[in-house]
Amino acid sequence: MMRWLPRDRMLWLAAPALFYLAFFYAMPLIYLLGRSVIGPNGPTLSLFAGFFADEYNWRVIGNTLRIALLVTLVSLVIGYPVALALARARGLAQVMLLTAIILPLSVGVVVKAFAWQIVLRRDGAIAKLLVATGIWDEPQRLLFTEPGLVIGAANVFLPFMILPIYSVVKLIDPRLSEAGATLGASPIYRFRKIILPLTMPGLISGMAFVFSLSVSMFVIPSLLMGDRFQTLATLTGRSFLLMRNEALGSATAVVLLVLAVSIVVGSTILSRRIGKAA
Amino acid sequence: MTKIVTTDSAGTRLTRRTLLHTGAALGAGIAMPGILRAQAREIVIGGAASHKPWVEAHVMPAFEKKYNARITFEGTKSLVNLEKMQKNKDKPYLSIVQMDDPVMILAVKEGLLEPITPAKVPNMAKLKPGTVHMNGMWANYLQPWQGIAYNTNVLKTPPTSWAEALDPKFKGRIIVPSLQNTEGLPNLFMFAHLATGKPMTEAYKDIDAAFREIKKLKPNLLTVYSQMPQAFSLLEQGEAHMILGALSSFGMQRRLDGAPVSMAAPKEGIFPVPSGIAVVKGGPNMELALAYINELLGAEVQSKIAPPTFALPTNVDAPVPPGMPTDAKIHTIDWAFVAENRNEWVKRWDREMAS
Amino acid sequence: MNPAPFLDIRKASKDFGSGPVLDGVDLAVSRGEFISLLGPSGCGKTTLLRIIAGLTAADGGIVTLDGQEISRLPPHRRDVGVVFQNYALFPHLTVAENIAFGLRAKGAPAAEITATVERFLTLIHMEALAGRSVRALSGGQQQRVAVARALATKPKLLLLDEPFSALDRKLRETMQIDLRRLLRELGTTAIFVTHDQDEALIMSDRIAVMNRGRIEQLDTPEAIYARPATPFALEFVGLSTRIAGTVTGYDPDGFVTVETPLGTIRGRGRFEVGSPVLLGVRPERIRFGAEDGANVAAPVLTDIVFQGARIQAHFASADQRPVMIETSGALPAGLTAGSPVTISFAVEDTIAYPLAAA
Repeated sequence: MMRWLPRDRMLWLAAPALFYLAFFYAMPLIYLLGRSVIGPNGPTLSLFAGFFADEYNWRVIGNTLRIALLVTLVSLVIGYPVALALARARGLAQVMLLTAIILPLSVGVVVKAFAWQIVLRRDGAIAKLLVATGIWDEPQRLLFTEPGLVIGAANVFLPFMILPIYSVVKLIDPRLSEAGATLGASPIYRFRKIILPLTMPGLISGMAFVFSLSVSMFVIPSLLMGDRFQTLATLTGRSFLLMRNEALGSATAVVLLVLAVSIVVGSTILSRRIGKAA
Repeated sequence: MTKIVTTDSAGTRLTRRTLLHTGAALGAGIAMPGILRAQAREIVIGGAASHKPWVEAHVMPAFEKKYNARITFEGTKSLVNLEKMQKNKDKPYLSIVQMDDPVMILAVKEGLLEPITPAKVPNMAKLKPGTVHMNGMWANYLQPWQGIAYNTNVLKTPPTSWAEALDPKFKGRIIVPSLQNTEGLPNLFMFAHLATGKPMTEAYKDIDAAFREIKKLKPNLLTVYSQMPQAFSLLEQGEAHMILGALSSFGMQRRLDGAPVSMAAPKEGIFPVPSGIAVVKGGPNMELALAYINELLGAEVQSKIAPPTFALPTNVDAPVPPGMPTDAKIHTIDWAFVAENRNEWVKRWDREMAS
Repeated sequence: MNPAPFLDIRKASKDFGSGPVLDGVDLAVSRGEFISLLGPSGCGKTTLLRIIAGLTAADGGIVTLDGQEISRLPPHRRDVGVVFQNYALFPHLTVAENIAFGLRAKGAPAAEITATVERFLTLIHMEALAGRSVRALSGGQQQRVAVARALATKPKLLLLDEPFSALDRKLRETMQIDLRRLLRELGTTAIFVTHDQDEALIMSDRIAVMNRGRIEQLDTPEAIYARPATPFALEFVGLSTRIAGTVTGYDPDGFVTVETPLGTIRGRGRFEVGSPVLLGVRPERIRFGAEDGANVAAPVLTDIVFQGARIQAHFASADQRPVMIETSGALPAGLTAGSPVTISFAVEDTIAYPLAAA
């Protein structure tokens, strides 16, 4: 009669987390969803119709997706080689690398934002370097620009790209690449046909992590871009916290959620297919 | 008998309230102090946590001695005070609130405040114009102000006009507060004034002109902040040269700390940051409450509390603290107008000021 | 005219930091030859293999393959195939894709790839499993795919690193014969690393017995078994009975007389009188009963071990040193533990080694 219960008792270990998620995540989320589709006269989609009719909101969606994609891309380009190196490193070198990757997580975003100001400002290290090397004729503004935001956000989220990839790479038998070499495959071919497909699960989860984090980041854009650049997350925050417009906030939150979930799920399916085809 | 009781955080508020309201119903040990309090005259003031130091140092001791009374100061946020008043509307325990003007408007709308008159608060007669609002619903006891904060290493002389910020030489060097911050609103009115050339009292309603003019600032904007410390850090590092609409309480404190910043009061005028005080409708010990307000509006107390808060006194007899503008034009903000339109302005700001 | 060897290794050396793993190894291999590197773990055989493949950089030495020096080439330019101990099959690819990998990497035409893959699938009897994921294969099947994958690019040289060690004994024996036959058909030159002497004896044209980073003996399986060049080769290849003693005389024909706990024994070797030596005899060369002209002794029987086709009899000499006799026939009647038994073994089958070297 208890047939619906999981047969494996170990599965019960997930129960506290499931209850926790149900109460503190699923229920508020469902409430939020309800908020966005139920008007004073019953169910309605007018909130969304209004939201999408406003050209400005499309710009906000564009900002959100563009920044999230760029942050994901930059994290990937920087993080992937690091993950490979980390998996290869041994002993003290590995410990130091891991520490260097994880420790910055303990520094709050606000502190980091202040640190970046010092590096990114017009008389900061980067500007000085670019002027000294002749790439720039004169110092340019880096602070409060989109590149600055992308660099900063990628810096914060990098560990979330590196660690999932690393956890997959370290399980790959180093002999596979050697086998490829003895079969006449160049390093690039080996990377494309062996390492890349085998690390794909790590890449997918890393990208999903960073994309989800950057599509919903709130504090980083407000510190690194200021108030002139709105994303769905900052717009949501403002609707709730300042404008006290909970309906609008629910709508933007739902749009954000739907976009993030569909992109993460969609790209996961797509990458799996590509991984299999490669 | 005098005793000072202060609480300074929202966290202890519940305990206190529980104590005050259920004390009688509980055991004798807890009920006793409640009875004692009722005998000694006491008022409870709801104010900001940041008020606590100067209330304790400069207001409380003299007041308690003079009136043989006790003050309980609950320092929290304006909106929390509003909530306290709403929740206890039938049986208020706060006698006085010290809150920001925009919150005062909300309190008035909810019918939580009672007007004060010069008959009961004689020092009201000594106040500068524009410091008594909505027919005496509240008065300003201090005026911290908003002007231009500038980096003293870059600008050797203080800016004399708000229009200087439009000079192309400040490309990417100007910071303004976001409209979602209360201190962001005066810039809008100032630029309406700059655009129209009309007196501020007329100009501020021309929001279209305001946006038209402030958009000219875009090339010069480094950023629009929502975190004031960040803005000041950029100013002090020299990445920014000016913050339009900076708070004197913040900017003067940084100057005192040795940062290369100063506050300027340009010729077009400055804006007071509303520090209001009001009587809670139906609050206990009304005479005592009015006496307290009278003290706070008096020259003696204001001359003590203006310097540490880098504010201008509102009583004409109180001297302007050294380092503060003495002859600046002070504009009053129409907070009712703000409350009505702010969300619309924020939306428009997002669209028109976007980078 | 003696042609240059197909594979020529000169003075290969390697030290990972804790003493030499390879100590100046020379090895010459002819085209089509199957050579085993036989030795215990840590003898340097796998390191030598990896140096030939280019997977490990040698500290010194030159490797020449088919007239071309390959020492400095990266592994993918060496044309040396490798079958790894764990096979290292690509887990994300099918059987056919694994076999095709090398050809694809080299950019072979599609038609050639298809034909080669089909041919090798037939050779390893796995046509039906072409589309199967390699993760779904048995150990033996994986090994065959690994061999086919390595051979599909027609490498000049095939290296095999203990490819049978993960298989059970019965499967191993059939696969050894299959592999030998396949390599012979294709005419592949192969170097085979193993610590299993039986495997080496069964498969090899020649065996290089390795110990402590050196090749101690390089010869045919028969020669190594009959005439181990060193006590290590004697001990590592096949069973042996060993008795220590002191030389008491020698003759110019290359025989020494040695005083041992088993009595006076003659054996092959050139040593001065008084040298400590180790005498080694293969157990199956020892017979029961006295024989003229042979070494004769009478140790005490301690144990009889029945091994199916063979029977081992264990004896102890006067000083309790063990002596082993191995016979495939029946033991003499009336053997009882504790009683002395007369045995004999030919002087030619007895070899003396310097004891210090043991």
